[in-house]
Amino acid sequence: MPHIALPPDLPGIRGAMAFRPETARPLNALVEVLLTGPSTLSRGERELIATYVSSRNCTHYCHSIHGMIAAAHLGGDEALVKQVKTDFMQAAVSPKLKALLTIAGKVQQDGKLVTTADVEAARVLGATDLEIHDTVLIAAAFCMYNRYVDGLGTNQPDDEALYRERGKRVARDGYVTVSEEYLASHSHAAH
Amino acid sequence: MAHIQLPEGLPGISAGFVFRPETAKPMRALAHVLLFEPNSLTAAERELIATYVSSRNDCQFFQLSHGAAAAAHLGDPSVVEQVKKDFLAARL
Repeated sequence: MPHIALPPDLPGIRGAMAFRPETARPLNALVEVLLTGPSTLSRGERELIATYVSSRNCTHYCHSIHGMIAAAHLGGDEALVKQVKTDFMQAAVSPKLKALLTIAGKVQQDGKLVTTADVEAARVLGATDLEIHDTVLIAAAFCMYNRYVDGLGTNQPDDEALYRERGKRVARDGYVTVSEEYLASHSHAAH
Repeated sequence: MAHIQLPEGLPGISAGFVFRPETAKPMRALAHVLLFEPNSLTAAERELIATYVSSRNDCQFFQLSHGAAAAAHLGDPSVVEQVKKDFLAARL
């Protein structure tokens, strides 16, 4: 049950975004650049970082939807996504991504825990400064999104199929495009 | 010492913003809406919320920069210090 009067038909961050389109726009623009913009990290890799951080923050909506978006980018491999959530060191992802996930996990706890050695380890495995920057920002931004979703008490459904279907759409069309739909349909409902 | 090659001479998030303008743009837009645009909470109140959270996160750059912004809005830095230490005892 949400703490404020959010549109009841929109779960998770979508209800909160429809409630406040002025903040939804830059929030969507940020995630669009970070997760779908040009990058030397694949979309699947970036979604895995977002999924992992959300999973550590125990934000069901975010780790479910981004897990499904990641799976959509990774040929439907939901088992790989689950493995990254439970123990990424055992997952079939590149050593570079494991080093970046280590950094992301520290940012999720406290950015000051990231050490020169963590960054050096990622660099030795081929990570660029831009990849390290984006990993830190994805982790930090998802802590913000996760707390936004949890702090408002948004509805976070259990049904995996809902996330799977939506995940495919977001993977195909991107965040801004998909968000325009529900922002437009609820533009008179808020406040 | 920054972990990546950030531009020199810029403190805190400013260096991150200059390093990556594509992500800076929506973050600055978000801060502008939340902290600056018309709202039934005053700009000072919103800066105090940002300062308080940054202080609890032990983030030096943000608690000083947003604390200074709050103090400028309020004309009184002592309230900001009190909010960081124990906001229940602050004159709010």
